[in-house]
Amino acid sequence: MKSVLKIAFATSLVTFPLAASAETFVVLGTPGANLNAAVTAAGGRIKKRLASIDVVVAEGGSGFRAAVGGKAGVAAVAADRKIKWIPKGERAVFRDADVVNPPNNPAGIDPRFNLQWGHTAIKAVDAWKMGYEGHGARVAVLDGGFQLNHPDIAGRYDPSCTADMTGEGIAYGPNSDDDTGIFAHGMHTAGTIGAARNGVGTIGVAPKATLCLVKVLFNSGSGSFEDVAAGIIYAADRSVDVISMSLGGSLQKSEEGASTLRQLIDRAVSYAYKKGALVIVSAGNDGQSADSPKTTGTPANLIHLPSDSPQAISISATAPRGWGKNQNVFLDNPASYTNYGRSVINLAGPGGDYTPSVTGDCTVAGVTRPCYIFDFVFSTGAANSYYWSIGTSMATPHVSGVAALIVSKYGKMHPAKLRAYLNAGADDLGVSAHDPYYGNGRVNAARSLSK
Amino acid sequence: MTAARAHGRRGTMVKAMVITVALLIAGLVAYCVRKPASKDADKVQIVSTGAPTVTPVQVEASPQPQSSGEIKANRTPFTQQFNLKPHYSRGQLDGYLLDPADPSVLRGSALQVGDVITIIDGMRLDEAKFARLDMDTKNLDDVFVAYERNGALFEDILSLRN
Repeated sequence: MKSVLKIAFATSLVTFPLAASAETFVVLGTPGANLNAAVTAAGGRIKKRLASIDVVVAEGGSGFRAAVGGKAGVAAVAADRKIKWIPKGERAVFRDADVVNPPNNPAGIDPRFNLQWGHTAIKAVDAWKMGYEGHGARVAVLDGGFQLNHPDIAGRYDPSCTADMTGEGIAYGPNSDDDTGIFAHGMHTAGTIGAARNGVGTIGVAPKATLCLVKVLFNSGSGSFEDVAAGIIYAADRSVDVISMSLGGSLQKSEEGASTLRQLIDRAVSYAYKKGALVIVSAGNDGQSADSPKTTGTPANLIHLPSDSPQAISISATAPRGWGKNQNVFLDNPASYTNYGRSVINLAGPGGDYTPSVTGDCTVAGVTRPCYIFDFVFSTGAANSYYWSIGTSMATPHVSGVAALIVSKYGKMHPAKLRAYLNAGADDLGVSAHDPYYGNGRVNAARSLSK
Repeated sequence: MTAARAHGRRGTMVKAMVITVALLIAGLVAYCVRKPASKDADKVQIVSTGAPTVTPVQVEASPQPQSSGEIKANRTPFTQQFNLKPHYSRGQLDGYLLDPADPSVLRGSALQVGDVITIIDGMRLDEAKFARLDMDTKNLDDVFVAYERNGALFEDILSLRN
């Protein structure tokens, strides 16, 4: 009888050994919860603390999730995962000798500026002429790796708010999955926001804004939810005005852990908002509507993060068709790939597009290429180079740059007010007031600075 | 007396057996509830003893309401929270008047009952914007508003209550 009783008692408390193949879990706590105790009691090991959002990242064995799930203070737990935050299709780039190391032009404008039709679309030059180039604004760029000594980026970033969350190091690295062999996505987005006006290469929308470069994606373009959330919090704690995230991952609502991972990102974005940073994110390149999934074929249970986060500003993409042939063409066609829907799109920005009917070769600003390439967005790349790319990833930094220009004029402000300035200045396109593709409109820097 | 004593001993034994069976059942229930439903369940290591407790395991449960970052599924819509009513000037709609049933929803902002909101989130609050206001604000923590009071224009941040 004693042995039976012993077994009965013994089964009441169990712990699980940390298996050799320990998984990483995100553990979401209730406000102020002591998650250390819960994780330890469940046999896990804390890897990272995101105390400001009551989250810990822990390593644990196969039984950890079940064990920690019922502990006091634990609201939810899920295995972290690495997903592609940048779809391969977006990395359609063209890079070669003509645009690598463009000639220095100290006496005049940056030699590749005339390839940047996006600046025309958003009236960036008009804003500069008003005297605002981003001075005093701080913009965090959360993306892949960076080349810190690129001639258009060196001197543009603040080392005290530049960091790597992935453990790979701040620089980008080889990526056989990318058309160029290098995943320089972060360089492209950073350059669109803040490339120096220095007589070299291109000019950012806000060339005097201070950049905070935060690597949250691996060189493969994939990333963990843990690193993305940590990057948001890192930036938020460094007094940035804007967090620009040209990345997005999709989860099925029915997937195990999806709601917890969503909560993780939502908490991080909300934290940043409360710390005074407006989080501006890409809407995604799936060509899907979030409004009426049944009629458009969109998976009804898809979550797109972080663009679905309540406090984030979600950006769709616009593009010209045949700008290389005629630089007076309409610049604001909705891009063929952009996600859309009134329920998700807040604003639009230049993201570029590929139009098969645009054929032949064109020469613009001394650069000769197939004409369709000039409808892409041109910006900084790897190894001192520059390249063209398309995507809502390219649209997002245009909007972030405009936000920086607004801050440079009006000073630091509540993110709700910054959002209002962006909305107030936007050109109302498509269906009046709130179009499925343009949201509240395509951003207009000059108009936002005139409000 | 002897029979009574024997009856008492039998009663004690029965009670002991009932308690034992109860404890056994409780232990088995605890074991079953805690047993992970994975292929690695065999690796569970029993290392501790103590009073049997049955704690529901929560895996991927609906997160507890938080102060931030949550979808506000049950929040009162904006137009109801603030009980916005159309306001006209010279026959033209010029905004929406704040008339909340509970004025405490304005706590923390400079707005008052009777103010007329003319611009919200950077956009003029006309009929079209009003029609989609609840959808646009359903998950926001706060919005920037411009409002009119006694002919003067002001601006402030208006926080939404969960």
